[in-house]
Amino acid sequence: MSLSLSKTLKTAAVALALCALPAMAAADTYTIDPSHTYPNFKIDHLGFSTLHGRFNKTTGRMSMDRAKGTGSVEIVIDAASIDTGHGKRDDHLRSPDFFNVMEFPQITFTSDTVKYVGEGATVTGDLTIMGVTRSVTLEVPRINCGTHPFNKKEVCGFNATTRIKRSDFGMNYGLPGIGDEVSLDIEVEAFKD
Amino acid sequence: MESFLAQPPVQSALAPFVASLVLAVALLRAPARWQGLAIVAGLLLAVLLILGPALTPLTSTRKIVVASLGLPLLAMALDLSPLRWRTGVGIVVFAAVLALLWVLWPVLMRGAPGEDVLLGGGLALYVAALLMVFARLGQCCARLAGAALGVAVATGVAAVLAASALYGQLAFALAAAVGGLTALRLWRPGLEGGAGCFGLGGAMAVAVPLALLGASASVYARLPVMALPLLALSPLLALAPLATQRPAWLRVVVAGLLSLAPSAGAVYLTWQVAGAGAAGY
Repeated sequence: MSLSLSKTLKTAAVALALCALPAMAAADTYTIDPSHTYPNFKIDHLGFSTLHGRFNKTTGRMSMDRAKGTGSVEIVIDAASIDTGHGKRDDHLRSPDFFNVMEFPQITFTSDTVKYVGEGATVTGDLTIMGVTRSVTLEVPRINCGTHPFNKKEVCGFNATTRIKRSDFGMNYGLPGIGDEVSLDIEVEAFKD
Repeated sequence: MESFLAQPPVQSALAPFVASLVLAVALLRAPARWQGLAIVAGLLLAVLLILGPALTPLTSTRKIVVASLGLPLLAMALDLSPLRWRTGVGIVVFAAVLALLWVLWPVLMRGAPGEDVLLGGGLALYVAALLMVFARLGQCCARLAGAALGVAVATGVAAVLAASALYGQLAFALAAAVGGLTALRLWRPGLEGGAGCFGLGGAMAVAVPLALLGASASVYARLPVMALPLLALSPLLALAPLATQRPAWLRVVVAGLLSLAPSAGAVYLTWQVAGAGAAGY
C-alpha cells in the first residue's frame, strides 16, 4: 500500500514539474546584428522629391516570448553614421542645423510594450532624438525566425515602420521647405544569444 | 507671408536690418549707449524667424541665443552703472566664458580630463580676446561698425563652409543688424560724429554672438580651430589709426576692409579643410 502511494506521489510530482516548465522558461534574448540592421528614413525635400537616407551603425538587444506575449527592444543608433549618399549633405545633417551629433551622439529606442498581432507585432516605446524623448509605435507586419543557412545560428528579423515629426524633437531648421514628417523603416536582424 | 518669412535672405538680412533700423530710429533721442539695443532687436527677430520662439529643448544653439541676447543687456546695465569701464568689461568677459562652458558642456563632459582643459581653455581665450578687442573698439564708433560688419560676414561665410547654415544665418543676421544701426548713424551726420558710439552694450551685442558662434562652430561644426586666431586678429586691425577728419562712412569702410584681411584667411582655411560645406549641395 505504501509503495503504491509513494509511486503515485512521485508520478504526480513529475507531472506537476512538467506542467510548470513553460511558465519557468525565460524569454529568448537576441543581440542585434549591426551588419543587417539599418534604420532607414525618408523625408520630403522642398516639395520636389523624397530624400532617402539611413544610419549605418546600430547596436542593441531584444527579447521575445510569444507564449507569454512579452518582449522588449533596445536600439542605440550612432547619429554620426547618417548616410544620404552625399558627403556634404551628411556633414550638414550632422551639424547643429539638424542632428548636432557632437552634442547628441546617440539616437535611442527603448520599448515599453510589445503586442503580438498575427505573425507580427506592435511595439510601443520611447524614441530619443537630440535629447528629446517621445513615445512612438512601431508596426511590425511579420517576424521571421529561423536558422541562418551559413552560420547555423538562430536568427530573427523584421521590418519596423513608423512616422514621426522632426519638429517634435526640436529639429526645426529648414521648415517648411524640408519636410516635417519623417517615415522610418527599420530593418532588423538579431542572433539568438 | 509665411513662405516669404521662411526665405533665408529675409530671415538673415532684410528682417534684422529693418528691425535694427526701426529701433535705432526710435532711440534717436536716447543716449548713445542705448543704441546697442537696436542690434539686439535685429538679432532677436532673426532668431524668432529662423529658430522660432521656443527655448526648449535647450540645445547648444539655443544656449548661444540666450547668451547672445542676455549678455549685451548685462553689459548695458554695467555701462550705465557707476562701475569703472574695465570692471564692467571684466565682468562681461567672465560671464561670456561661463556661457561658453555652458554651451560646450555636453562635449567637455565626454572628453578626457586633459582634453577638456585644453579645448575649453583655448576656446575661452578666443572668446575673451574677441570680447576685449570689441570692447576697446566700442570707444570708437566707426571702427566698431566696420570691424563688426567685416568679422560678422566672415564668420557667417566660414560657418556655412563648416557645414552649419544655421550658424551662418545667425552671423549674417548680426551683420545686417549692425548695418541697420550704422546706416541710420551715417545718414544723420552730426549725431556723435556720424557713426555713433555704441558703448559697451553695443560692442557686446556684436562680440558675444560672434565669439560664441565661432567657438561653437569649431566644436559642433567643421570650423578648423586654427581659423579662430585669424578671426580674433581681425577686429584688432581695425584699431589701426584712422584719420578722424575723414568722413564717417569712409572710416567704417576702411575699418571693415582692414578686419576682412585676416578673416578672409579664416574663410580660406575653412574652405580648405571642410570644402563647400552647407553651400555645396
